[in-house]
Amino acid sequence: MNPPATNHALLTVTDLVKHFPIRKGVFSRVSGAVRAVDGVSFSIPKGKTLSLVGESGSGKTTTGKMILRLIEPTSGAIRFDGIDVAALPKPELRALRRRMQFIFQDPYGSLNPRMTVYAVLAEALAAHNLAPRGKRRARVLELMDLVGLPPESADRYPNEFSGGQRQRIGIARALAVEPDLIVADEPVSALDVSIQAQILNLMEDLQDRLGLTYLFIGHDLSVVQHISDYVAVMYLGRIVEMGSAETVFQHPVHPYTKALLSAVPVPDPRGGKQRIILTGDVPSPINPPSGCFFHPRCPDRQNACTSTAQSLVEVGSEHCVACHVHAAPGSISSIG
Amino acid sequence: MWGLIPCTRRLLSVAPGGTLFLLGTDSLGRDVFSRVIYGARISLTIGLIGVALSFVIGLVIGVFSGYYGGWPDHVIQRGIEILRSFPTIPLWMALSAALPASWSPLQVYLGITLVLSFIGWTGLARQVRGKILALREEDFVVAASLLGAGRWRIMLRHLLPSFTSHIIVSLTLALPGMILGETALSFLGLGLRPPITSWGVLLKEAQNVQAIASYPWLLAPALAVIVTVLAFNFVGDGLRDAADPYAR
Repeated sequence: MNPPATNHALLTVTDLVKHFPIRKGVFSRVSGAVRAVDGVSFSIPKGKTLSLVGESGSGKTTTGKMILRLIEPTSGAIRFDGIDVAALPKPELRALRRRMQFIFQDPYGSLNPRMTVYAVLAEALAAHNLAPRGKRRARVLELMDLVGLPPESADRYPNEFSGGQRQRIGIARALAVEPDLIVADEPVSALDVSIQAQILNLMEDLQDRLGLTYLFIGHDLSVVQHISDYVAVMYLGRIVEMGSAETVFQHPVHPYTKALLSAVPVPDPRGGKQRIILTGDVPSPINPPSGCFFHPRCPDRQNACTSTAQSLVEVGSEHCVACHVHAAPGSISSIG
Repeated sequence: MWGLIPCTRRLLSVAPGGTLFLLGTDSLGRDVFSRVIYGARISLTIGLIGVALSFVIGLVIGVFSGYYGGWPDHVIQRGIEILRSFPTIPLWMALSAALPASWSPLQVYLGITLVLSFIGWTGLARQVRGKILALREEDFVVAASLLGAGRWRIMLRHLLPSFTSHIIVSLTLALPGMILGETALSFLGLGLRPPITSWGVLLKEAQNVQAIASYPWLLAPALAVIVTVLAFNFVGDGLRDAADPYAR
């Protein structure tokens, strides 16, 4: 189940697991666990974008935060440029985080309302001694120029900016430490549609200019299609389908991916596309279904689905699917 | 009147040879008005010093408790609960009774301030802890630590400024509490003693009903307390508005 292009991967995640314990009673006995992320593996080649998509609660954000060790993984390995992130002691983590940054979903909560743009960006430079005191202002203005903020706004406070501009500040802050990898947690979902495109184009532009690698977390498939090279579809903490963006969007294999893609609105009113309507709700990650987590809602369910879970199987070049019916060894012909 | 018209009616002055006492005199013939003004020195400084002391204790303990969490937090919180569950007046009484009777008035004054602030810090510590707990999960705090900002930097640049307005308000609101505490203690005869004049000491004279009935002006210091407490509340409100211009 090797994900696409492992040989020159910047980030490789193997069997990442996060179980949040549920404590009950007077003595806080651990009575169960929320299986937020349940064995996720993927890798991102340098300079490319991998998107994690899925419904709320599918573990996308938790995965993203674990990569930066904002959440400690329960088990699993994270290798970033040859460094084992999961096992790194705290002091070295600080140095590593200079190379991995995070863009937050909420452009309002992610900026300190009491610090000017200059103060926010200069803080990043000061923390890692990236610019000597005298050159700090110049570097901040350079960063602002990079993300398309006018230089005269350096001494303004965040509340004077619109959501899109705030997100630009957030991006500039992430770029200040010159990272290699940026984990972007739904960076545009809080923005107006017209602004979304601007921010996405900015992110693509920066990727080209600075050679950034993105882990893009999102639920809006049209946004994801626009920005990604690779896509991984998550359902209840597991990846059900992963491959190059083109393959996954053009030839989805897993029934969940198909249902997800059929829900994307099409601009053509006569484009009579058949929607697959899933019944039921996402099961609770505290008590997930047996076998394949998707089987209670799956239109193509077979007996094997209820008993054993299928791991990711390669069904084509750069395309893996976890499904008994459509991706069992030997059913490769079913790629549509 | 005005040296022109001979007149025996008096509107606002005293009989010839007498002295004007705006608020009358006490049992020993001392001017109540000037004693109230004089007492303000003690009552207000007790409030200010007491608040300053409990501010320092409360802030340090609150930040520590909130930022580090875990068992130190548990110990501190249970300690605060125990301290708070004592009825205040008996606790004050016990503590001020522990001050040696041989102390000079100045030492007693400082001792009372200590007693008041020793009890006063708990509320502030809790508020600070709560604020820190809420703030340290905020995205911008997470972002700062991702950028490699140190603990102290996060504390001083990101956490503290976010709730200074809150602290200012609770401090100005705690000030009346201190003044009232001192007044209550002195009123009960456990606080400051007569050579020192404070509003509480003055009110002690108005302890029995007969005194109030015959000399109602002895209650004037109470009026001073009420006005001061109200004034500090208004100052607190004003400061809150002034300190938070960035409110989203």
